[in-house]
Amino acid sequence: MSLLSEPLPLRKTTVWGAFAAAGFIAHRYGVATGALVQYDATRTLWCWGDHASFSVDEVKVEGVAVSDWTWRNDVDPSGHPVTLVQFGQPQDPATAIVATGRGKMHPATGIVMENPADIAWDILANIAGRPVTEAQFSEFRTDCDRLDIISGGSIEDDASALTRVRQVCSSVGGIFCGEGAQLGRIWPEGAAVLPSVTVDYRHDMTPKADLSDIVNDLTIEFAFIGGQAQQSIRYECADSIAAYGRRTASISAPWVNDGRVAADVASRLLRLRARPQWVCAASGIRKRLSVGQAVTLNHPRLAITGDFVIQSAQNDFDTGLAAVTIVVPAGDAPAVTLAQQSLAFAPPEGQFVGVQTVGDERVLRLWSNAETQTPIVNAAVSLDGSAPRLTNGAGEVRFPIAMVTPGQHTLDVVTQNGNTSSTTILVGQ
Amino acid sequence: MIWVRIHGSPLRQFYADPRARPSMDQEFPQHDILISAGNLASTTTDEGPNFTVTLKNTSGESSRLFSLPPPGAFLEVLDDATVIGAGTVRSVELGDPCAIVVQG
Repeated sequence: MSLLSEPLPLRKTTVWGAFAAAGFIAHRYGVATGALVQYDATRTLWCWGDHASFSVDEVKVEGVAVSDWTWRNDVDPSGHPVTLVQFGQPQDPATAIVATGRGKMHPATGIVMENPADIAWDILANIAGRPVTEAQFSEFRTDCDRLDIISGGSIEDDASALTRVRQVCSSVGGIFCGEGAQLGRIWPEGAAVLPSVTVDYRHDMTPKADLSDIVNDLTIEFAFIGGQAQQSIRYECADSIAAYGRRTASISAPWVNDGRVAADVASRLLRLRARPQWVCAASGIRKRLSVGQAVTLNHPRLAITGDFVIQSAQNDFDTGLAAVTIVVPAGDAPAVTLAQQSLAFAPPEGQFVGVQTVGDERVLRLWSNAETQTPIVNAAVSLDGSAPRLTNGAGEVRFPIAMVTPGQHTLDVVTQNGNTSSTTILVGQ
Repeated sequence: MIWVRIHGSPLRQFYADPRARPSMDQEFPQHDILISAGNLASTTTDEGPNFTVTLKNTSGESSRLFSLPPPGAFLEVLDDATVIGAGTVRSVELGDPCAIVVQG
């Protein structure tokens, strides 16, 4: 068993006996994209994950999808399961060879692990070797299911288990509760937690509200490949901007691949952070408490009452007294709106999409090459399965605004030379 | 006489000496809980000029007024009718006393 703060004991390619370069063998969860690692001297066999996987769905060499490959789950010379991709021809190790697939499967059910609770459990229990049970993530799992939150990503370096699990939780708008009976929670707006104690006049408490805690323009960066976000989504709160000025923040969500999940995380966080918050440090509580538990607040120092989740806790072994911090939002949850569609700035085939509203039409502009912004002309563009429309010489195609309502849409594109792609776009007001 | 007002909805006015009251807006509540308007501090190295206004809160007087905290609100320190200090409320701490940090 390793400590939470120690590097994850990932296996390295050196365990194969022969290897091209010493490096960590990745673990993949949910829908994940990551580089293949050369597995044998013929350069036809490459490894995608240090475990059996549900599927490998696409392989790209230098950003171009290729078809001369098959995949399989196998065992390496040490008897360890691995996910392998077999090419018909040797591949150049100097090129970028990347595969997308659905990663690790649950050891008991065989279902691909994409619930953040399952991923966090697997990292702790099966990689770090911690004595953690699935039941300790049951409430987090149920809440993720309720909110339809799925996760995906890769572990490609030996950052600590604590770093990685916190990253999984925070990516989906959750918290890791290392000392609690339940190890993860959705917060804010998670399921109600039964309060453990009432914080009242018997306890010391100092609420503090700081202007710097207010965020009313929030960007979530997600869909990471090779450590780089491929998409982002921005939400804002107009009422808060009017009251406090525009206060921006950006959050990396490396375990989110889905624009719908990113939108949910952004709107939940913004409904909390766009309003003033009292950060309340309470002490002298005669009960052992931990992050993720809840307290009922009814204290003369603050004219707000209710149940709130503990964000930090200290338990003094000598006195038996606990000190906790809770965050108490002031006022009603504000309305938040999608401010900017999520632009895939490096989607498949190097295709870029921009959306503008002109009168009662949405103008979608398609281009390739981030630097030159070369228009993709005469491409057939279908929106949510509609009859295709051709892009003009500027790479633009127009749809009635009624067809391109705010929210998520699927864009299917067939270029002049027959390349096809399907991209999810998010459209603002 | 020194007194303090925080703009917003509602406008809040605080004084220590009742002789300040005639200078205050008579249409809004006047609260007798001002302890100190603080002193304006500035250096060449730290953050911008700031001062801390302190209010009584022994019995929760300030806590009752600030269920909606005023960070971001405009605060003025006045000597009778003359503004002698002003800035944006950066933070509010509801201890005993209540401390309001204002940044110019």
